[in-house]
Amino acid sequence: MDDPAESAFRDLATTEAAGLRRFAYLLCGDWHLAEDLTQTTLIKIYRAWPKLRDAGVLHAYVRKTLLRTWLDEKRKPWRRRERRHGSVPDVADAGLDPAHGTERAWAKTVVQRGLLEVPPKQRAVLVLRYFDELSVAETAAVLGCSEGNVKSQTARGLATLAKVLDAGKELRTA
Amino acid sequence: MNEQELGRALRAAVLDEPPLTIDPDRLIARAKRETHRRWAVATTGVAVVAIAAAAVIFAQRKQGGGADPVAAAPAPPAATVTVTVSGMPAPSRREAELVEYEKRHLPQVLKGVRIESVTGSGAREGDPILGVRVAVAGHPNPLELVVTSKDHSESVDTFCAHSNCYERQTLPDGSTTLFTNPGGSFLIAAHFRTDGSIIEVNRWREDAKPWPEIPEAVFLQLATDPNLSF
Repeated sequence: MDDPAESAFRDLATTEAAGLRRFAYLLCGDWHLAEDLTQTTLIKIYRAWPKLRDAGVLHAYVRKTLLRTWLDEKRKPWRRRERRHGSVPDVADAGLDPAHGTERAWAKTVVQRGLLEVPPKQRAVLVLRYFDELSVAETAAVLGCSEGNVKSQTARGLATLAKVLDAGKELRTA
Repeated sequence: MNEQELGRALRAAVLDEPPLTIDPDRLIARAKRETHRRWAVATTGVAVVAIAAAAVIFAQRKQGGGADPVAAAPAPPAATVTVTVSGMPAPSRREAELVEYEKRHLPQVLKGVRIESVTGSGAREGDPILGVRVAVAGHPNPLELVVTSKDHSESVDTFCAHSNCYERQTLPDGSTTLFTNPGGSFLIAAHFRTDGSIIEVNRWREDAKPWPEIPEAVFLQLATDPNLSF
C-alpha cells in the first residue's frame, strides 16, 4: 500500500476505532472482547483497503465487517468454554455516584440482562438503529438484507427485549 | 420499552468505557506482518507441492527405466505428510476423521432435513477442542458438534453452575447427559463422559427459527455417540 492510501487508512482507524468499539461492546457486552473485535475488523479493512474506492459506503462496510467478525468469533467453540466471571473495571464506576446511579444502573440492566439475551441478528438491528441511529435503508445495507426484514427484526427485537426485561423484573419482585 | 428509551439506555451504557488502546501504527504493522506470513505460507505450500511432484516423477522414471512411466510405475506407498510452516501446527487429523465419519453417520440420524455440508471447525493439531459443522437447508446457522478434551473440560457441576441445565440424567456407565439453553440463543445437548471429555451438540436459535423436523432427543443421541470422541 502506498503512503497516501496508508495515511487515509490511518485516518479512518483513528476516527472510527472508538465508535466501532462501542458498537462491538453493545453486541458482545465485554469491553476487552470489543477491543479485540475492533482490531481484527480494522486489520481486515486494511487488507481490503486498495479495493475500497467508494467512500460513501465505507461506514456501512466497516460495520458489516465488524458484525461478521463478531458472529465468527461467537461461533468459535472455545468461546462457549469461557466463563463469565466479573471483571475488574478499567475506570471508576460512575454508577456508584448517586447522581448518576439510577440512569447507569438502568442502562446496564438493559444491555447486560436484556440486550445480550436478544438473538444476535435482532441485537445487531437494535444497536444499528437506536445507537448508531442508522435509517432502515442504511441498516439493511449493513446487514445485507431487505428493508422489510430490518423492520420485522426491529419489531421482534424490541418485543424480545421488553419480554426479557419484564421477566427480570418479575423475578426480582418474586 | 420504547425506541427512545432504548436509544438512551444504549448511549448511557457506553459512558463508562475504558480508555482506548488501539494504535493505528501498531495495527498497520501487525496487518503487514500477517500479510507477509500468509504469502510465506502460500509460497511454501506451492514449493512443497512442486518438490513432491518432481520427486514422484523422478522416482517413476528411475523405476520404469525409460519405459512408459505411468504403466511401469508401481502404486505409490500410502503416506501421511504433516507440513508445519512458520510454526503453525497442521490441521487436526482427528477432526478430519470426525468430519468423514459424520458425513456417513448424520444422514442416518438427522432424518427429515437436507444436509448441505459437513465441515470441520478448523482445529489444528494440539487444539483441545474439535468441531464439526453441519449446514442444514433452511437454517441460517450450522448445527455444531463440539468435542472437548478431558484436559480442557470442566465438571458437570461447574458447567451447570453458570448454565441453566435441565433434564440432567446419569447413564449406567456413570456419565451424565443434560440440556442447557444459554442466553436463549442456542440449545446445547451435552454428554459429560467418564473419561472427562465433553461432547456438545449445539443448535442455534437465531431468529427463533424452530427445528420441528428434529426432536431434542436426536441431539442427545448424537452427543452420546461413542464414535464421536476426542
